[in-house]
This record gives sequence, C-alpha cells and structure tokens, in this order.
Amino acid sequence: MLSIKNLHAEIDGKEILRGINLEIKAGETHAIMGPNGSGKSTLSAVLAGNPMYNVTAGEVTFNGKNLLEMTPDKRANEGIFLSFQYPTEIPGVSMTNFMRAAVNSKRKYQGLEPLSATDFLKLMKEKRQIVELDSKLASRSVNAGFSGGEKKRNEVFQMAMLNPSLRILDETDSGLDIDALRVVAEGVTALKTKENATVVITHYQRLLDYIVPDYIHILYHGRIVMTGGKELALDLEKRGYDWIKEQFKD
Amino acid sequence: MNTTAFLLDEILPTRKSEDYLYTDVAQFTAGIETVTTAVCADADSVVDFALPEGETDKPALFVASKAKKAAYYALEGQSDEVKYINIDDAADNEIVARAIIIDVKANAKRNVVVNFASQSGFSAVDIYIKMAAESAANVVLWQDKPTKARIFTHTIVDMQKSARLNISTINIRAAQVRNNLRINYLGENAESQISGLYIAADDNRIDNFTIVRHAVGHCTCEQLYKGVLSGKAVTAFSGLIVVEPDAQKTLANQVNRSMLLSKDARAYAKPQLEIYADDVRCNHGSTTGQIDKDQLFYMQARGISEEEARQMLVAAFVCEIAERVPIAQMADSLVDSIKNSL
Repeated sequence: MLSIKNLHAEIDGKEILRGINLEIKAGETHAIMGPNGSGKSTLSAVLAGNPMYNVTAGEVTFNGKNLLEMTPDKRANEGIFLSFQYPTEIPGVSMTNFMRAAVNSKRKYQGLEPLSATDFLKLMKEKRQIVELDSKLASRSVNAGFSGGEKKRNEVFQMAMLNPSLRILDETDSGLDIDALRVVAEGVTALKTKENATVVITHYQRLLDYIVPDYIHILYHGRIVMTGGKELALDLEKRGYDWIKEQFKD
Repeated sequence: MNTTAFLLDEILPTRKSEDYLYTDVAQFTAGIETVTTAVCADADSVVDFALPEGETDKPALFVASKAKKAAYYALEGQSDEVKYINIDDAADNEIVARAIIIDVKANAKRNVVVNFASQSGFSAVDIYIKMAAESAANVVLWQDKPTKARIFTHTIVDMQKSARLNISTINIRAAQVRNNLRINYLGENAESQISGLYIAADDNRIDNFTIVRHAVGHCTCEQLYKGVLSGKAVTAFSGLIVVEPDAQKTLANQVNRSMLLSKDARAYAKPQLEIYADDVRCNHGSTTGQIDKDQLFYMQARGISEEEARQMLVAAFVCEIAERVPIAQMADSLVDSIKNSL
C-alpha cells in the first residue's frame, strides 16, 4: 500500500528526515516510536503533504502512485488520513459544514454525487457514536473550544466519516486521560479492516496496549534504527530511549 | 471649474486634516458637478435639520447645510418588523445630500435598516439617532451588492439612560465609502454593540471612523469591525474611545480585524483610547493578516480543495459579523451576500 524509499525532508533548511525506508501493507498496524525530536511528526506531516516541509530526496508511492507530487487534498481523497497531534481550531466553520465539504470532496473525486442532506446527517449520527462524540460538538465550530480529549475524539470521528485506507495517528495519546485514551483507541480499533492499514506514532507504550501493532519501528535522528515486534515497546518502556541514543549517536 | 467644485474645495477636508488622512476626498468627489438635496419619501414627517452644536466634521456640516430638511422617523412601541429607509439613486455626476432623524422613543424596541441600493452617484447622508431612556433598537446601515456608487455617512447617536443599541455598518464591494459613527453616552447603564463589515475588491475604498464618547459612567460599548480585502482595495479603520472623568465603571472594547487576500491590498488601522477616569475597563486590538496556513492545511488534509477551503475560511472570518446582526432576515441575507461576493 505505502512504500517509502530513502526519504529525506527538511524544514527551514534543517534536515529532519535522513533516509527513511518503510513498507506498509493492507491490514497491518505499524507503530513508530522514538525520543522527542527524532522526526516522528515530520514523517506524518510529509506523508500528508504539509507544505511547511520540503522533501529533498527519496520517493513515496501509495497504491502505486507517486504520493509526493499530489496536493494534500488529493492525498486525502486517495485514502490517506492524518490524525493531527494538535488539531487546528477553525472558528466560524461548523463541524457539519466542514464534514459535508470533506465527504463530498471525496465523493466528487470518486465520481459520485454529493450525499443528500438526510443521508449525510444519518452518517454523522452513526459515526459520532463510535467515539461517543456529543451531538452538540457537531454543531460547533471545528475544534474551537474543544477540550484536548474532544479534539482527539473528533479526529477519530472524521476518520470514521472518511473511511481512509491509510490511517496515520500522530501522537493521538498526547494530552489524553486514560478514559479518553480508551475511547479513542477503541474507535480506531473498531474501524480497522483487512483493507486498511494503520501507522501509530507515539512516544509512550500505553497506547499500544489498545492498538496492538504488528511492527514497531524506532525512529532516531531521522532514520529508522530498529524494527521489531510488539515486545519492543515493553523493552522501551522499561529501559527508556537512552540506550538507543547511546547506540546510534552520530 | 464651476461653482460646485469651488464649493467642494472650500468645505471638504484635505489630507492635511488628520481625520481625513486616509480618505482621499479629492478622489472621492472627482467628477461631481452638482449637489442636490432629497428627503426620503417615506418619512413620518419632514423637519428642519441642523447638526448638534459643536459638530466639526466638515463633510457632515456640508451635508447638513445643504439638506436643511430631515426625514423624521418616530419609532415607538415594540415590534420585530423592520423599518426600511431607502436611499435612492443619484446621477453619476451628483451628490445627493440627505438628513435622517431616527427618534427611538422611551421603552420602544425596534428594527431599522437604512438601505443603500444606489448603483451610481454619490449619496451623502447625515443620520441622527436619538435613543431615549430605556429604548432599544437594532440598526443596520446596509449596502450589500457591488456598486459604483460613492457613499458618505455621518451618524450621530445619543444614548440616554439604559438605552440599548445594536448597530451594524455593512459595505460589500462599494466603489468608495466613508462612514463616520459617533456614539455619545449621555445617561448611565446604556449599552451598545457596534459592528462593521467591509468587503473591498478591485480598487474599492472603504473607510470606517468611529468615536465613542463616554460622558457618564456605568455604560458598555463593544465594537468589532472586520473586513476582507482583495485586488488593490484600500480600507481604513479608525476607532477612538473617549472616557471622560465622570465616566467611572465604563466597559469599552474595540477590535478591528482585516484579512488581506492580495499583495496590493492595504488595510490601515488606528485604534485610540483617551481615558480620563480611573475605574474603567477599556481594550482595543487590531490585526491584519492572511488566511491561516494551518487551517488551510487541516482542511486540505480532509480532502477539501485549496480553493474551496480558502472560500470557507474567508466566509467564516466575516460571517462573525452576520452573527452579530440580531435581525434574523438581515443576518441570513448577509450570509448570502458574503458568499456571493467572494
């Protein structure tokens, strides 16, 4: 599904990703872990097409297509979904209008007619329940005044609405209490199918208790320095990242 | 050169006058050959008109000296209906001067729309709004369709004890506009909410000058002016809040936000506070910015095209003003006009 080869990327002239290689197949769940500043969030931003980052080398294909030459909206409509670490507040744009625009953009991309108002509202109601999102939140402006937990649940709600094939969760556990974490993680798990794949970016092991990965990759200084099974997370939990830093220091 | 042009030169301010530094009056009146007066046809009655003593704004004095007669509207009782005052067309080369007195009686609760629908010429209007004790009014100065017309308004509001005013000034893609708005707080516990929207494109010029004068205490005033500029449009906002020594416990807030969609557009902002009382809460803020890149990316990351996302963000930015217009049908109509204008 996703193939990343020798990916290099920079922001403001500073190189953050220094040769990432990663293959992800449908049905798989990959966790990307690593100390702060190792490039985890940059990787997710580059995959989603954030124009702040500049790709300097390497290639990324998604279902055989060159991802790097697509605009962010095209990537989304092709099936990539980034759950933001810090979801952006958009005062004045209601969740309903925002989701309607998003859902109908994807339908247009697929050559389908826009959803009728009734069908759209039915879909909203159905998907909202997956993450126990209050109906009041749906009528408010996008993320505006949402608590940290509400923002993350809202990300998973949008994921449910758009039904992406590649789900990238950027530090979805940050700022969540244990109950919110459970709701969010169960939502992600409930939406898992054989056809979609998941990339979980996290600093801590606790999210991986709920979203169990097939592979764990350790990112350090812009490279994947180690890949293992889910037991690697427990190892990190016990030993921290210092031994990685020691072993792979420049 | 004719007598009218000479008259305009004499009576109108130049850029040397600080209040008209931004509004190029010479350009504003270019091509004007005649000045005529008119009285709004649907007035309750016609009365003599002179601006209050001490008024120094030259264009307003000019309008008053020309108009002499004012259309007088007495607003009594409580009603959700809207009283429309229509400002009709002027010919391309003329200034039509009008004066309007809106007398909101004690305990009245009424809606008024001053509708600028002219497509040409120069409409100059002095508006005097008297808010009696315990009165309430929602007033909109409304111009919502692209027009070549030039508009000058000079609005003075006297707020008596416990009066409540919501006033909005809407200008969407008018060629040249200068709005002066003065609110005088003369009785305690009066409240006003002031809103302004300017959508300026091409070489539009839309300027808003407000002066809020608190002569007595315990009054509140909350101002928000927002605008979107594209092309080579230029706008100015100048807001002065004066709190006199006796006006303790005044709450006054003023915010001006402009969004620039092109490199050549310019938005001037000049917020000013003059506070002579010590127990007051007054704030002002002004921002000029562009579309937020993070918001744009977030929307694109959900599949919305850049163009559609931009439109949604600009509409969201200015629709905040529509939410502040308490007359439901005007608020709905404004949302449509905003979307059509972008």
